[in-house]
Amino acid sequence: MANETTNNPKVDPDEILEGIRTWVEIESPSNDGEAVNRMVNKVETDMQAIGAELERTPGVDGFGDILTARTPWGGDGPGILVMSHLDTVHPIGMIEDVLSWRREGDSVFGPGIYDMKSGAYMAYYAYRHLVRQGKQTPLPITFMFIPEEEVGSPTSQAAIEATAKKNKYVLVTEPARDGGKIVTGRRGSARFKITVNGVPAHSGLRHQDGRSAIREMAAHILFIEGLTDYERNVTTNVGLISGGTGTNVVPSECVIEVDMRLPDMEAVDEFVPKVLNITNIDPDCTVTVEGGLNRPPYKKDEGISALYEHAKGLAADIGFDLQDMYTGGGSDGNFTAALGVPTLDGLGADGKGAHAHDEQIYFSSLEERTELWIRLFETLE
Amino acid sequence: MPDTTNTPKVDPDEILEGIRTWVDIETPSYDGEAVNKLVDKVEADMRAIGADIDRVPGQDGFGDILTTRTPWGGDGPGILVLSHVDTVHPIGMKDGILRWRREGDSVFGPGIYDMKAGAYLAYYAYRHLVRQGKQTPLPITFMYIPEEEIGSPTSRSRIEAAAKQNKYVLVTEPAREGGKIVTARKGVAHFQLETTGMAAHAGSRPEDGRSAIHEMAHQIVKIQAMNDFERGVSANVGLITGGTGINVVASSCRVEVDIRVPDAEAGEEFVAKMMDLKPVDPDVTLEITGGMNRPPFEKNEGISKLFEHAKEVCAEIGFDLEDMKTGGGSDGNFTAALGIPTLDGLGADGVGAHAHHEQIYFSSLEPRAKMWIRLLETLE
Repeated sequence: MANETTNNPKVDPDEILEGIRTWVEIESPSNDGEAVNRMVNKVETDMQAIGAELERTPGVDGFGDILTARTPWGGDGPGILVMSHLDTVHPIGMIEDVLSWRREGDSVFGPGIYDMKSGAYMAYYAYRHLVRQGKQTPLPITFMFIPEEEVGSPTSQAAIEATAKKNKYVLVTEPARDGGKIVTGRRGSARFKITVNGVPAHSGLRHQDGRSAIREMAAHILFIEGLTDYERNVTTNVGLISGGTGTNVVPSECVIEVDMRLPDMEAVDEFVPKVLNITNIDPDCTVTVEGGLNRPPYKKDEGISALYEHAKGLAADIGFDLQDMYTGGGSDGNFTAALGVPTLDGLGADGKGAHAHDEQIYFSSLEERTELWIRLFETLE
Repeated sequence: MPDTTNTPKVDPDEILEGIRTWVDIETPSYDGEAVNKLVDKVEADMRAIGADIDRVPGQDGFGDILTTRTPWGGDGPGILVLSHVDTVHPIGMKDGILRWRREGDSVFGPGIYDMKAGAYLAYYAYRHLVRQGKQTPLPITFMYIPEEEIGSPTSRSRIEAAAKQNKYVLVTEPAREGGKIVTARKGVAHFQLETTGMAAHAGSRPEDGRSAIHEMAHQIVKIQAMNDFERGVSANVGLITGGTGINVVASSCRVEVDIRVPDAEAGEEFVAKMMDLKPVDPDVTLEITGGMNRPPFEKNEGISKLFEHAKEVCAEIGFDLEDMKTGGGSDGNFTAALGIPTLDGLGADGVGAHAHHEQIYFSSLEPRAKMWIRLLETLE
């Protein structure tokens, strides 16, 4: 696609959507590092074409590479960090199946279009728009593209935190939701893997010799699920379980994976140890608990409030009412906000159906949100 | 090969050579083609000694059911010898950890103990009588089951039909714990439980979800509480799987349960208890399938008398035959439950059924072969 350098480049939603399509068409499931890297290659090419300085860190553990693109202006000091992720939850092939690219009225469908390729593209488009206008911004802007956010950013967390500490503001391109609201608070999340080992035996002949790992695990599941407290906004979920080798064998192993959401650090300090300290009930079983805090709680502090008010003002100038909300789900914004770096999240396109088969963006949100990005870049100091 | 010398001996080395030819043909239950290779061999061996052959094609991918009968004795009730030709071991075991070998009194091989040695012993006894030109008072039917190790699902009705047409059932499962035979077995019931809840994102909308895993934990506690060691009832949740992702409320979870009961009464009671289980969470559904898989095999009068007869026969041969009750099931459960006097565990002594150290004791071959000959000769 040729760079357009007319005198009055417009923010053109059809052009934005065409660009989004090129990013959506490269399917990028989190656990497929090669696929994610095809996406990284495209973003790298697009960024290179507009003069950004690039840095690419090879992926580890089978995940994709981490790409960073920085404006050549602004110097080395603290600036704006734009956080995006290029991976999606959808397996390869979805684009030929239930999530084929299509437009139905104001809705546009595609795998990862809402979470979060549109948002990532819009921030890029805003940068390109400024380049087309021959403009620079008061602060340098760093764009960071994460390859495995959907599985908890295990290999990127350290780089995200290190980069956030070197910047003044963090703007996350996760999608807007619930009527176009952006996000200024999120629960923290803890993840655990719990393994119970018992003693195997033939269930008919020597049943009394066996110690059932599934039986022991059932008691722990009831305990963990029992920690859910809606009043306190703490929820636990035993999301996965597997155990045993045969119907007629006393099971010697059972494994579960647990997801826990926590509103603040007090809750983290109270509830995470409750799971880490789980021990065996049956003296002949062993329990191994791995894991802990994954994403710290993202609380709307003063710095975030001020940043939100600024963005709200810009949106009003553009012509729309920007509202914010708190959500239970996590993002890379949790890492940056916990470090005290003012973070706004949910600055992507509006839509719905994240992770689902009806994932879509609302076309009508593209122009105004992209304008907001441009104004944020231009005004933050 | 028929040997028609004047005084055929019961020769344990010859027995072992024959066992080896049956063990060499590996026969995992789910591989009907592999099982049929052994059925071909047994059929050929039986034909060579003049037995009448009936072979029913296998179903659902399992092997064929072979029935052979003595040409003498007529059509009336006789002795039913029940064996299975399948084993639990995958193909290739005989080239590795279960390669054929003899170490002192122990002989190793896949399925040698459970139960190719036993199946061969009964055949050898029949052949021995043929070599001697003898007949037996009762006709003898030998039935070879292709999938006993996984519950005889396609053979059960034929086993029951054949048992009803006979007077005695002798099962060639292995002897154990010092050469004891089996005169009672627990009943085996299998159930599958599936809970269905509602998926939701665990972070943003957990309250919309209904966890199928959480519900299943409640059911597991109830099932485990059914264990009653004193009474002889055991309940085992052997397998569990559920959920799609750590951050998704699980919409489904599935378990498989194995329950053992000592008698028919307990069987009825616990099958009803299982089928009666209800979900704790009103928004989760619980589906239960299954039931009694092998009915309890109880030592009634008919079985006691048959055992006493076998005990006398063995005393004459020179060894003390003992019996026991076991928690494992066999095709004998089906026949005993119909009231047909059944003796089980009449195969070779040894250890390690289903395991990597599976073996028979060579020294048990001669006495057990003689026991078979005498049982076939004396039952009326």
